[in-house]
Amino acid sequence: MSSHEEGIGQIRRLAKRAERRIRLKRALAVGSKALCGALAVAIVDVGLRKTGILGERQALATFATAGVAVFVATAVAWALRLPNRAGARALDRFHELHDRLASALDFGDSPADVRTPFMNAAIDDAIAAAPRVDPRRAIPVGLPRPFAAAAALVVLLGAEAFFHVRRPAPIAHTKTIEPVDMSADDLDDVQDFLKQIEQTVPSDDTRAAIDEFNKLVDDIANKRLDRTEAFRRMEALEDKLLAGSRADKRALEEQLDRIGDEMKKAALTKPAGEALAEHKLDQARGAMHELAKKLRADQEKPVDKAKIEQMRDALKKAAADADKRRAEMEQRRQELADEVLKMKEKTADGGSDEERSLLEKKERELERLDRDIDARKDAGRQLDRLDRELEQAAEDLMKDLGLSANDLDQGAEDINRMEQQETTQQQKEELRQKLQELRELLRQQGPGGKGQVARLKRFGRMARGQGGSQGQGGQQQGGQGQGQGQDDQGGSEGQGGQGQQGRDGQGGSQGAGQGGETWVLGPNGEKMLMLSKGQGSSGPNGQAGEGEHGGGPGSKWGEGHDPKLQGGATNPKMGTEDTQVQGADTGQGGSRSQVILGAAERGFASRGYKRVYTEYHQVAEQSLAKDEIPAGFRSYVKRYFQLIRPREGQ
Amino acid sequence: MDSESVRVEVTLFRKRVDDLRAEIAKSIVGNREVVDGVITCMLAGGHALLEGVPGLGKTMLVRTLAETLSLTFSRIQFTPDLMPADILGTTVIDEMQGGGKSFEFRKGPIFANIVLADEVNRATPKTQSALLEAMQEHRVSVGKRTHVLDEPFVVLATQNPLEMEGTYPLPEAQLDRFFFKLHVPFPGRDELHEILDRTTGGEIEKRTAVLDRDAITAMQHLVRQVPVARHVQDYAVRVLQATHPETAEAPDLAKRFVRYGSSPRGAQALLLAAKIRALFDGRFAASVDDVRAVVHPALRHRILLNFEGEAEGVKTDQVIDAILKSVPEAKSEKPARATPN
Repeated sequence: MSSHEEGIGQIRRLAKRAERRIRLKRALAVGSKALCGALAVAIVDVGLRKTGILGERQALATFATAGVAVFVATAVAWALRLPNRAGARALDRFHELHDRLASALDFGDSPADVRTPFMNAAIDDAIAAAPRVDPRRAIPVGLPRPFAAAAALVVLLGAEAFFHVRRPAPIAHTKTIEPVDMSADDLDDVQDFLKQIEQTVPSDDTRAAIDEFNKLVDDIANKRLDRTEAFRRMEALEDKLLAGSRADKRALEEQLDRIGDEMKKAALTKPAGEALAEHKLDQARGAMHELAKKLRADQEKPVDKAKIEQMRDALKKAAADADKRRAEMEQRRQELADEVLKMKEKTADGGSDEERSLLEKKERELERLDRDIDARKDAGRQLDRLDRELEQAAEDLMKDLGLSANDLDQGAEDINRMEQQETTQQQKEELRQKLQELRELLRQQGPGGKGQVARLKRFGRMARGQGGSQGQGGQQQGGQGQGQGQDDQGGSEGQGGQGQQGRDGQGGSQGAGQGGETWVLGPNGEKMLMLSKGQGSSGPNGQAGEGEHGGGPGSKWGEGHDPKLQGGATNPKMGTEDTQVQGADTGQGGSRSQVILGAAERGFASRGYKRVYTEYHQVAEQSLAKDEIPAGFRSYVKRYFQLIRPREGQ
Repeated sequence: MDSESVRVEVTLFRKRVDDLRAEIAKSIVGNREVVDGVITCMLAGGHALLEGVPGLGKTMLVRTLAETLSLTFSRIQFTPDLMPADILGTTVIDEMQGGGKSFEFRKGPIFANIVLADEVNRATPKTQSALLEAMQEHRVSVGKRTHVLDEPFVVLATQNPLEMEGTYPLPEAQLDRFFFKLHVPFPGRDELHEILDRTTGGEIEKRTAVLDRDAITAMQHLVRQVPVARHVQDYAVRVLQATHPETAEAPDLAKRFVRYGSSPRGAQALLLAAKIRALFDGRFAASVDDVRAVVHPALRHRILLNFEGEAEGVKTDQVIDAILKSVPEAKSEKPARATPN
């Protein structure tokens, strides 16, 4: 190896060392910055962990990620490629060699035979300079400046690790419900109804249902139920009410018809049969007792065997027919079930549309039949004892009339029991209907129904005379001039003290108080002087009584004010403004004006109002009974009258 | 030639340059960079454009240089009425002794080794362009004849940047033919004292020629042999590319204010000047620092500013400063072999 090559080799080694130091320096610089970043992340991470925002696993994962990121950044900084001749040039720069080393390495890469004398001279020059080159001094590797920041962050992290964060005890938030809100009127209505039912001495299960219903209403009234719970409770109660009345009424009546028809065939049992056929169970019971008495009476006398025989046949058929029909239905059901099973197997691999349609039809028929059988079974259970008694009576007729009479008495008792049961069912049905009404009310309170409910409530308050407390009276009476007109109309009825709910209503109060001579707006807008008579009594409080038209005792002007008057009295010197109202004559029909007695009185409370209310309510009830009105709309009418009903004690 | 003889040659080169500098310094105070620039142009075989306000010794410098070299010197004062023939020469009818007449070419002032084109921007473009062929090709075509100029041939032109009225700025093509454009700065206080001491005293020191034609030719030949490492050449190329606003290397200033960047002649000037600078320093190879040192005079007249740049008063030196800041000295690339020069 020539001296040139050795020298170049030496320079190359120096350059390599320099490059390694450059890499190390770069890796330390990047690593320290990354470490600062990672420590900052770690501080935040620990903080979040201590405050409980981050979970244990998340915090550890973040910590580990930050650590790995430092190593990755450092490794990448080390591995990244350096610029060409970076080591040699760094040495050149530090030792002010003017690229001697870098150029020598460059020239040294060329084959020796193509090197020019100048290149060789340059290489020699670099070789001569190489001994005083020191990579350590040229590229000093010290701790980069960010390490100081990293150390500070480590201290901070340590301090944070010892810092105890008090976690505030979680405040237990009690769950609140959004209770269903029903007007007191509706609840009163339901409670009244329940009281009425209770007064009819119901059966035990009906009483239990009423108690449960009462509890439900009580919970709603005390706002202990939200909508979901209220509906759930109502559904449960309805299921309970339905459970006892599952017997199909129609099926029961059909069977009673059948028994009655059979019993009508015999002369002795004809009255009882007719009563049963007409579903007059109390009459049927009486007829049965009569027949039993007759049989006992006939025990002493010679017996008309033909009649007895006829009666026996009738009773036997009446008892037996039910079983026969049930058996027929069971058989039919079995056949249909077999048929459906076969069709299902057939269409399992995919049949034609026609076959599938037929199968569906059969399945529906089977379901219907099942329901019929269940209904008849339920009805049959109720009639089972009656059937047995009638059968026993028929058998005993041949042995002993006394025994047969006893059997008939038992049958009569069965009918009595059925009657009672029917009454219970009726009550349950009423309860169920009321429950449905209640559910309908709640349903109306859902989204979209609240406004309506609010209007009804407002109307209810107004009807009870409580609605003007927030200036509602002003709406009714408007300005002073308007109030005057209305007042005068009221004044003609001898009602005082109206329109006292708001300031705007004070004019009304005065108008009423002065009574007698007031201006009103006529139909064409002209003012008319009206002389009213029979003003309310001029009591010290100025309260006009309930004096009806012309009948009041007041011979003097009213004085004072209604004690419920709010705000100061209207200043009489304050000018008023007359309002001209042009009536629009549409020409449509006659406008029969009707005076609703007591309507001007606070709270609609008067005997006259009660009378009017009763009249209208009856008409409404008749219309509801006569016309086909959807259930949803029926409830509106009923509620309306419920809300405007006159109150007791008013 | 072996490395030892190279070392001797380089040492001799340095000595000659030092002698030349010392001789020039007898008349020219300070202005080391300008003097070195002019010498560099001469050794590179190029031409220099000296720009400075009147009275800074531009003409004096050129005259002194001519006096210190055993070369022919001519001075042309450019005026608006100067004609190309006044520079190149003209053909005249010569009466022979026998009574016959013949056409004879009378050489103009361009036929000299060192030509001082004083206030070159005062001549018309037509006259200025008469210099084009001479500067690039070192020959003059008059009529059907081409006359080769003697080597070395150096045009040292001066121009005044202040008096723009009645001047004709040099076209880009002609500017590109100047190896360097040197700014002659105003002297400092000490230098002014020195100037006054020398010029207002009694006897002015006489200058002697220190270099002859052969020596200069040998030096020019030596310059061309200096090798350049790949990374140095690559730096020169990247600097040149950065003068072009459309390249990625160009700094924002260049992208905004430069219309055209330098021609490849700029890179040639960079490397040649870097080599000369290395020899000045007694080194055998050019370095990146050498390139950086000559970027301004080599490229400042080759960068053409756009209208916005002109309007903003941006100087090409500012653009070059931005380029030097933005272009890294080294770039990761595959190592390549050095090119022997």
